[in-house]
This record gives sequence, structure tokens and C-alpha cells, in this order.
Amino acid sequence: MNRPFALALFASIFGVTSCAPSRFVEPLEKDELTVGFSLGGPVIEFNGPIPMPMTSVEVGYGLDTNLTVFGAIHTTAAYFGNIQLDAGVTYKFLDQNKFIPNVSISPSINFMYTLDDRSGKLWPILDLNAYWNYGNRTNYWYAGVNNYFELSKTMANDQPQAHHWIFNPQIGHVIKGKNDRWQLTTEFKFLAPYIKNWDAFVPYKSLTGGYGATGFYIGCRWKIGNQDN
Amino acid sequence: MDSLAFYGEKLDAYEFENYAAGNEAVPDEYAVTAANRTLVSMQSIDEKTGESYTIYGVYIGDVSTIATDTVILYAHGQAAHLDAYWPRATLLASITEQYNYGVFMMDYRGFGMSEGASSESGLIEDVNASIDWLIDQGAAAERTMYYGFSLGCIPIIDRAANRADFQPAKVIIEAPLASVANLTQRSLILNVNPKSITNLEFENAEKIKDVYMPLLWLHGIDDDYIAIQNGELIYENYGGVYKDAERVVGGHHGDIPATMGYENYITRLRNFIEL
Repeated sequence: MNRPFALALFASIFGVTSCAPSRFVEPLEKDELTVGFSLGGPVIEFNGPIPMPMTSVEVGYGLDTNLTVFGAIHTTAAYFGNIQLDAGVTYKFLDQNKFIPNVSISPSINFMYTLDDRSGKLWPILDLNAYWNYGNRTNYWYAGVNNYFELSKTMANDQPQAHHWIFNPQIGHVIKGKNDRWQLTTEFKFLAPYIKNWDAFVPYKSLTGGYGATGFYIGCRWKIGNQDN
Repeated sequence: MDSLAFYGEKLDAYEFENYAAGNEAVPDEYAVTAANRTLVSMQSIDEKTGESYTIYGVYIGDVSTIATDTVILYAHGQAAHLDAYWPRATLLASITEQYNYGVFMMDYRGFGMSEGASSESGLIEDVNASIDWLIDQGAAAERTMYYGFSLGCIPIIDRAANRADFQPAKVIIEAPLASVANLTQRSLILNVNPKSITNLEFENAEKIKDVYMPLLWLHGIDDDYIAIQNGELIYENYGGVYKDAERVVGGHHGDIPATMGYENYITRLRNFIEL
């Protein structure tokens, strides 16, 4: 084995997972339509710590004031011959009141279809985020958890699937442009910070040391519909 | 991407004992002189295309006595070539008194002076060509040991499992990977289809089920490239009766002899071979 292969391998495996920040923490207004992209991934050691530059393109639509539906295509995965999509909804069920934050929940799925193998796989995802709007533009901070669910009973070489629930805490910030025409997202995600990373092929650089990985992501979205809201 | 797994440094000529091995160098007491090694060229056939490639190997010992000698067939790891693995070969040549038996190692296609470009099947075909060369010299299967390091475990396990006409006496594997699927899923935690990433399989953990000769597995506990979990899985799946393991405290990928101490390493191998 050698480092070029290792680099290509983990570039590609991050092309299929762990390649996106939270899609929507705060729902759009009713009938708002946005498009955006995200860039980033787990931080690895490659002549210094760098986040893997994984990309995805997203679209969101406000079904109601508190309910947004979204979808995304993972462009890096496409480069490796896979069709990978995620889709879900974000629902705000608690409004900010003094020290009580807004709270939203985002159930979604991540689906990957491998063209070479003609096989598909699906992972359910559940995000729960608290966020605090501030200032005239209602920018916001958020903190929450991203949960991935692995439904397979076994993994490679008939080994029992070690983890069916993968828990990823996250914090982030969203800056809004004038009249909320655009949004800029920055997010840190602590990927599986309770699982030792010593037997990973990938040289993770984690803020939690020998456990998990640290993801860093940026994203941008633009409102292309119902811009008067 | 698959071709990157077989990146090998090319050479115009081998230097062997004159090669500057740097940190990989072993003490002078294990040195092998030019008079005691033979550069060998072989033809390795791509079974799909029928194309033939000239690959190179080096035999340490007396070629004329292969028929009565004990021979270690050593399949080296990734990226480097016969020169870089020369110090390791000299250690293997020192397991008993030097030159009492032979050590044969080869460069895969695209490595060192060998022609062509390697692949998963190419690795196996190149080791097959090396086995054929040993047979042509009269080597006896019951006195032949297979030894694979890292990438070299792939063809070694395959040939031990699947080549029926030449079953070695014993098999030694050092720092093997279990499979590409295992590497992928252990890194991701999720059960991602490895075919979404690569067509390579490197299914050592499955093929070892068909290896029945005695097995010695060595792995550094602190190997941060191919984690010891890979070797544990292969060791667990081994299909034979006798197996032995050396989990090397403080050992990383490729430094097991130095970490164990050269004499301890040699003694460990000798005890297994002379069982």
C-alpha cells in the first residue's frame, strides 16, 4: 500500500459520506426557493491538517413558515461514478424566547447508487438543532446533533456491524446578506467523537484526539424565488 | 484510482548491497555480498491479454543447490523495489547460518526494473512466475516457505490458497490488510459498498480460509497504516490447524524487525520454520 492510493481512497470514500454540513437549520419562509452549494469534509493530515474538499449542490423550498423541504446531489460522489442524493425536511417546533432558542428537527435520507455495481443503499439521518437569531439580519448560531443510522447487520468480511447509530455533534453559524438574499454557513462537525480512530485507514486529524474526526464545512445559498418575503 | 494502489518506483539498474538504505539499513553482520546473489529475469504473462512482461527477481544463496535447499519466497510491499527491500532479504538470509538456504524476492510489474504496470491480478501472475522459476530450478514445495509483507500478502495468500501444484510448507504474513472493503468500512464506520470506490478487492480475509499450511502472522500493534485489526481478522479466518501470532508491541508498518530486535526477529522466524 502506498500514500497516493491512500489519498485517492479516502478522497473517494469521503466523496460518498460525511461530505456535507447540515442542510437547513432554520426553515425558509413559505414559498421561498433557494439553491446553494457546500464544500468541506473531515480534516485529515496531509502535509498539515486540511479538510477534504467535498462538494454538493442543494435546493430548498419553504412549504410553510416552519417547514422546508430540501434535496441535494453530491457532486464529488458523482465524479467517482456514484449517484448520491440526500433529501428531507426541516421543521421548527420551538420559537426563540429570551434564553430559549429556536429548535428544529430535520429527518432526511442519504441514498447512494453505485453505477458499477448497480446497487443502492440508504441511510436514515436525523438532525436536531437549537439556534439563536441575533441582529437586524437575524443571523444565527446553532448547536445540535446529526445522527446517522446504519441499517446493515454486517459489514465487510461478515463482521457484525459495530455501530448502528452514529452520533455527530455540530456547531455552526449562518450570516445572512442584505434582505436575506444569500446565506453563508460555516460548520464544525465532530464526527463520531466517541469511536477510536486508530484502526481507520484514513489519517484523521481530530479535535478529540484519537477519537472520531473533525469536519469543517462552508456553504452558500441564494434565494431565487419569492424574494420579497 | 485503482492504478494508484500499485505505484512503484522505477529503476534503470539495481544496486543491492551498494544501495543507500538509510533508516532501513540493517547492521553489517547481516550483509550479503554480490557473490552470493543472482539477478534473475522471468516472463510474467497477463492471463487476460496474453501479453508477456519481463520482471526481475534476486536470489540470495546458491542457485545450483535450490533442489536441496530450504527457500523463502518473499513478496515485498508497496512503492519500493528490490533495492529498498534488500536489507530485509539479508535478514531472511541470516535466519540460520548465512546462505544455508535461499531467499528469492521479485519486483512486480512496474516496480524497479520490471516491465509493465501492475494490477491485482498482475501481482498474482508475477508471484506465479516466481514460483515457476523456483520449480524450474528444482525447488521442493515441502522446503519452500512463502513470506508476504503488506501488499505482498495479497499474492502470497492467493497462491497458497489457490495454486494446487505447489503448496508451500509454511506461510508467513506480515502486516496484511484484510480487504479493501474492511479498510473502507472501518474508516467510515458506515457500511459503504466498496464498489462505489474501487474495483480492487484484496480479499485476504476470505482467501485465508483456504490456506491450510502452518501460518505465522506478524503485525505491529501500533501500525497506523494497516491497523492490526486487519491482521486479527485474517488470523481468525485462517482455515488450517496450526497458526501462530506475533503482535509486536510498539511496532509500526514496516519496522517490525527493528522494533523486535533483529536477532529476536530472526529467532522468531527460525523457530517457526524449524517447527
